[in-house]
Amino acid sequence: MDPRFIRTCTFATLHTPGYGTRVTLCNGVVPGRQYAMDAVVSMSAFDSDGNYLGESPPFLELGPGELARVDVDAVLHDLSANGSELRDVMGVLHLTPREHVGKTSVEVSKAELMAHTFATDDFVEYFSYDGNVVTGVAYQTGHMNDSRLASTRTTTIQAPKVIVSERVDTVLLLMNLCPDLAYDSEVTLRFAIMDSTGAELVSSSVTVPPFAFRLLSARDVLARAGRRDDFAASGGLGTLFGHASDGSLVPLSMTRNDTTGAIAVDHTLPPVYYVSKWGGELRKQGNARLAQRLFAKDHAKAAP
Amino acid sequence: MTTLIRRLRPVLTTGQQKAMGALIRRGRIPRLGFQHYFIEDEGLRSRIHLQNFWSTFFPDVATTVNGRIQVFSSSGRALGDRAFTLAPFGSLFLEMHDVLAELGAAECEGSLTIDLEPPQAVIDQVAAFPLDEPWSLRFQTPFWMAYYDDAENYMYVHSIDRFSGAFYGVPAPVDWFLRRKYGRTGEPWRAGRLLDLDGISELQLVVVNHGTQAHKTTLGLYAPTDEAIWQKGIEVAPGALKRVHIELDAVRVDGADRSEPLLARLGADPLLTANGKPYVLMRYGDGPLSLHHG
Repeated sequence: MDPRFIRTCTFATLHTPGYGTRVTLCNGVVPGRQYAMDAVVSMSAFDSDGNYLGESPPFLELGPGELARVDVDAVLHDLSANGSELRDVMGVLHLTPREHVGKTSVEVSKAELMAHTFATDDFVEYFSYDGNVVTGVAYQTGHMNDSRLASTRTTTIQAPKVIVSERVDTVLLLMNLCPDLAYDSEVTLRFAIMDSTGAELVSSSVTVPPFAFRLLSARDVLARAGRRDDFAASGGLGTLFGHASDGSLVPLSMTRNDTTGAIAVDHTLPPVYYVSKWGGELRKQGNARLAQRLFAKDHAKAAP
Repeated sequence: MTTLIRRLRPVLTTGQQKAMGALIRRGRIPRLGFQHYFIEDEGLRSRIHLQNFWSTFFPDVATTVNGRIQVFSSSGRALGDRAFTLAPFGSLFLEMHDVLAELGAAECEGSLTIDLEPPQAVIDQVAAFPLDEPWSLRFQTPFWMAYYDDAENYMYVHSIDRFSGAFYGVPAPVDWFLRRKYGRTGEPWRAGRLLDLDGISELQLVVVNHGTQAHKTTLGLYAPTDEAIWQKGIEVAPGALKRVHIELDAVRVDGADRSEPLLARLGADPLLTANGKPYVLMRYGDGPLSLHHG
């Protein structure tokens, strides 16, 4: 594999909503542990259509167990070839083992990949350009959508965190990423927003190009469906259930106050948090049931 | 999750695994709650957010499910229970001040745990499914807490460690057997976030002891090189919590001439339980108070 993708941290930048991005990056396999490495850090960026914008020169070295805070805006500034501002990009921080720097392909065991993936989360921090809002979320994206590591690629989302009011919106951030730059698969998430009684207020879909992210505003989705008043009448609180059968997306939910700029950012929880053995055939059957139950009518509508 | 299975594997003998596997195949699947923090103080309110996750995994089972909330004071004292039901694909959005009022409690902070029972049809399906290592199967009820102020500045945090006070869905002796393996002290921990101490005007830590024994720990602020900047030792009773204010002026006192920001991360030596990371209440400048996992 491309050694730059042995250990990565992938994130979206939110320039247009008014936030800069910092990442606390940790080379988590500590000294003395198997697969501990000296890492050379660089960053790639992709535009909103998933087009590759380039890779920065190495700007940081992290020994085993070391961490540092990366100012993403500064790296993007240096990455910009003609001085134009790079905004709203999907960024990928690469922690490349020093001995592999400059190589195009190396052989890596699954165990080594997993060791780096599970050693630590990274903290992606958003700070408002105007005001005193600093927020963020810790997560680890792993090696998503890599057919060498997983035979099936799906996404299941259940997020009881849809909060919409006059001054608050909830936005689902969806990233489509892969450790192989040849990856070219769009992923379509079908979703439904339910109120507290389980009544469906709206169902729709969003397609995310490879190496891109999309922001799905619950307020806009409800408004387009003419259900915003109904949602407000039900308390302004709901749950988003989503499923993609053609790929894995990284979902983050963001509840934002329009006035103060405060954002609650959190990841969703994977199914094994609820059913410890949720995998293999049990998962496949469950996914098929969910797609049939929630989105069969969408398939029917789409049929000629 | 891998931590849960890792912790179970060495503590169950082959015979115990067989017995547990047989029990699970008969539909007695152990269930765990998560223990989560609530606060009705500092201008913050807390609201439970829980979806009927059984609908997500088994949407063909269109059954209303039963759940139960147990609430504890900051000292770990049980304040009472509240039952609820969830329709298929329904959700619970429940204000903690309403729960506390129903229980006649005047607490301004504490913890709670939730158990959402699976429908019998779900138990039957899973128990009959050919699983690897069926003895390690567990059902769990994680949930979110939204913390917000009067201006609707939101944070939400998912529950992070399990309630070790009960295993539901199994006979009492099995509950006892599984409980005694739970709630042990965790490993030393450092947060994966570097905080800019110069910009922070308020910093508090909340430590919940998810275990059934009293535990001691040393909380700290550490430089990126792991040099201690601030430390405080505490002891927390089982099921209890402690909120600790960090006096940042004392921490920053030698930093007046620094050209680089004073970066530090939080730590605990050790975590009180396997994944019992502290909650962090923090304010940058005059911005809104926020609440996160450490």
